[in-house]
Amino acid sequence: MNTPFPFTAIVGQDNMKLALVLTAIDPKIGGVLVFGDRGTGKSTAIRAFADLLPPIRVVTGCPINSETHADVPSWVDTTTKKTEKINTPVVDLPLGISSDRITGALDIEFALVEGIKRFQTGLLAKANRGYLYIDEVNLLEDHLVDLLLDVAQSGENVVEREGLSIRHASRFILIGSGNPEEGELRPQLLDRFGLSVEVLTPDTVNERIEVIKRRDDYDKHPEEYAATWDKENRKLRNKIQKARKSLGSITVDSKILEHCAQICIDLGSDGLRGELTLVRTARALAAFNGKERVDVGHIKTIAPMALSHRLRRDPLDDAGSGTRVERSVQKIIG
Amino acid sequence: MPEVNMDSAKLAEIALSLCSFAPHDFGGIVFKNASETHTSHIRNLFKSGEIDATVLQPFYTLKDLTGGIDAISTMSSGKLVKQPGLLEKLGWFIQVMGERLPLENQAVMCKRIDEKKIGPVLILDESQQDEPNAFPKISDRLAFQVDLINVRYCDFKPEKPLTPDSNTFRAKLTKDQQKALVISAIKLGIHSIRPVLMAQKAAQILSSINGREEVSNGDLELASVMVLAHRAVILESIEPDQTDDNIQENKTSEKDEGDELTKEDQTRFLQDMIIEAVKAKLPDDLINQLKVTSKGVSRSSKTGSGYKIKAKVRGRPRPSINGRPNGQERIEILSTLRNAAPWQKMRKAQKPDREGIIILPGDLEIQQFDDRSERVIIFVVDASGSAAVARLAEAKGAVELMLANAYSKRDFVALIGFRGQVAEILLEPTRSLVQAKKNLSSFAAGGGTPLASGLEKALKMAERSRQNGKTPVMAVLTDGKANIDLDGNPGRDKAIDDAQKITSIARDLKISAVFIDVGRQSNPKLLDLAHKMDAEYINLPRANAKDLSQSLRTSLEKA
Repeated sequence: MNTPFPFTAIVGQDNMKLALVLTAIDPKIGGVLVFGDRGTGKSTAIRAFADLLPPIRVVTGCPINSETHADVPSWVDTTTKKTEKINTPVVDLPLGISSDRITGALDIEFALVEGIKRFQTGLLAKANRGYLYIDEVNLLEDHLVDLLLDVAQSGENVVEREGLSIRHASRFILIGSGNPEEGELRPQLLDRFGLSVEVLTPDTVNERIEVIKRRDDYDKHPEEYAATWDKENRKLRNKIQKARKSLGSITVDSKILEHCAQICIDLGSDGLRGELTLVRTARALAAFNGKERVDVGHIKTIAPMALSHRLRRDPLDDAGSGTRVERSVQKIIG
Repeated sequence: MPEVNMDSAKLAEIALSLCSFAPHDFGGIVFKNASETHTSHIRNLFKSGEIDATVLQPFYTLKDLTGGIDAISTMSSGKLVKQPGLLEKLGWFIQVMGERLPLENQAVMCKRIDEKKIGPVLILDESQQDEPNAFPKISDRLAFQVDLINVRYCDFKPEKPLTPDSNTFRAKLTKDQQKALVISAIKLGIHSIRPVLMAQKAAQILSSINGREEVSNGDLELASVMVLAHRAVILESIEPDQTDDNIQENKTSEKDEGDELTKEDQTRFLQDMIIEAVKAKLPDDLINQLKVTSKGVSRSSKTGSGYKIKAKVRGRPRPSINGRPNGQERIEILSTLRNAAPWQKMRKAQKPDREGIIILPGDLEIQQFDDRSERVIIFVVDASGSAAVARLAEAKGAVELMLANAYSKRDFVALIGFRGQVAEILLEPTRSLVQAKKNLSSFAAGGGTPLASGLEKALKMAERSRQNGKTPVMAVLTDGKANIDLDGNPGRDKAIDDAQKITSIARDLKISAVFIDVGRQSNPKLLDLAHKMDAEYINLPRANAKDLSQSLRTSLEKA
């Protein structure tokens, strides 16, 4: 499966697609949490997304994808100042991976054979300036979750083990997917994701038939099929790049900020992260739509994905968190 | 429908052929109720030497599956020796003892199936019939499931040689057939798109094998039965009027096509055919099972793991010990190097031509881990009589509150309710609040007090949890006024007798428990039962959900 399924050819799943695109416009939004049943095409969408992202410029041979020579950590012995363009890294974090594969560890090969202490980089290095994708995030071992939270928060990976002392930048966008029936996520990890979306299988017959047709065409001739969507993909990529440029000039007036604060207070979401994400995401959406200022419509669109996972869970309340957010938005914005 | 009445052996044969024709499209086959004869028969199919098959054991580690450095050979030879992963091998894979397949191994295999980098996987599932599916993740990706329970003589073999064949030819499927397949899947409660794609491919290949240019309805039917039957979850709603909305929708979208009505009839006809065929394939007891599944009860988050080996590879690190790794354990590099360091000069003198550090097997240190095993809290809740309504609500609340906390404790929660004649498993061990809510909402109170039956079910579940490597704890919420015995007959004395019998078994098995007396006054009989089981006894009349979960948590910490 060398050619991924084209992102723009995915039927439906608008929320998930929008959430992914918005984080590509403003990485500060944070990660995306995708919840859905088995076989809803979560993994397909995320692998497709990797292919859509604009390339980044890195120093050739740098294990942590540094942008400039000055950013290359001292333990890397490169002399080259050459840079090259690579696809935005999207790194898979498989379940059951050991923590030293994530953080990097002593290079066993070198230690055993040459007797030399050398650092072998892990996935956190690879994912720097890109995406870290955790399928089945709710099944991830606790100590790995702690580790990832710490790095996601500090933007730096520190390895102090086996006689090594290494640190390097590790800024990445977390994408997690999972099936809520298989286990819950702890609130700290939930809060770390900027956006959360729920993916459902399309339920109308026509949509489902379309999904099957496209998948079938793709399976027969992946490359040719991807080529027919190339134009669409390029269009979206250009739109993302344009939005990135205009992001800085989008204005958010105080009325909107007030609305955001009110919504978060009404929902009783802990901390300020909710508000910040709400504003940031709305701004990214405005940029994506080619607008100059954020309006209430933008807030309405993105409030559920920015807030629904931040509500304090009340086990005795049956209303879905998405509905609660919508109710609150309705009440405040009207 | 002659083809559909085929026995399982024939279906196994066809499934094997399909997998060999399109090794990457179907994922593989799950063999349910595989006995030893079946296992050896299937293994022998691949022994002829023409096709490679790799046998996978459930205790294989991820390193075995994905490859890594072979530490022992590396050290003894003084140069790097890599060990290729088993999953990188070509050909078929036979996973034996599928019910014990750990979740991590499943995840790795699923990924390779998704990437189409692995040949067909045959999983031999030896679990008991009433046990929930131990590998839901991977079985979703394998197209076929064959129940071998009635297959006595193992003589099935694929019609065509089991060699992967380039699969370029595929019979055509009409729009009606495709639509009928999609609608049937919805009606059978199959939400994932994956099975529909698989059924479609199976139908196409079946027709191609038989030299047809277009998919025949018979092939479509057979393919649907093979791929969809074991996935069906809804039977109740298979009524014609349920799908009228869907049909309407099709009508509006197909205005441009001329002979609308006949087309529709055609689709409807095919659709009925598929559903009838799938229904016919379902044995009676399976239908009962399905009803349970549709409520979500038998979908549990169990991992199928439980090997004690686990304790050696994860958990909180402890000081390392000297020894040789056996393949599952990790070498503690630093201590190993420390052991080797003082001897370097001497060893160098003996082997002057070797470069680097010379490490001998005797230097090896193995990392040790403390593994606190996961706990399963089994709630056994009395739902008898009209007074129990409030109590049941509190118990439900307590379960949900416990679950909301379970993420930090890594506890699983299960719920067994008893009322009327027998006890019922309301919730298989789970960590999911979503699932718990779904199942709890439908349970009502009333009737007699079959305490013994409740305890018996809990005991069985506790034993099963233990087999899966978890530590069970029972929390019994009742007023202790048992009046139904194990056989479901009324009678207070026999009822208490039976309950006592079960508690003494539980004590022998060393299952810890907490008894919570929710009656208005403390019940000496219940106290007696608790003592019989060496369990803690708490009298908590009129407790609300919060208090209940609080005191439970405190006493569970002790248990």
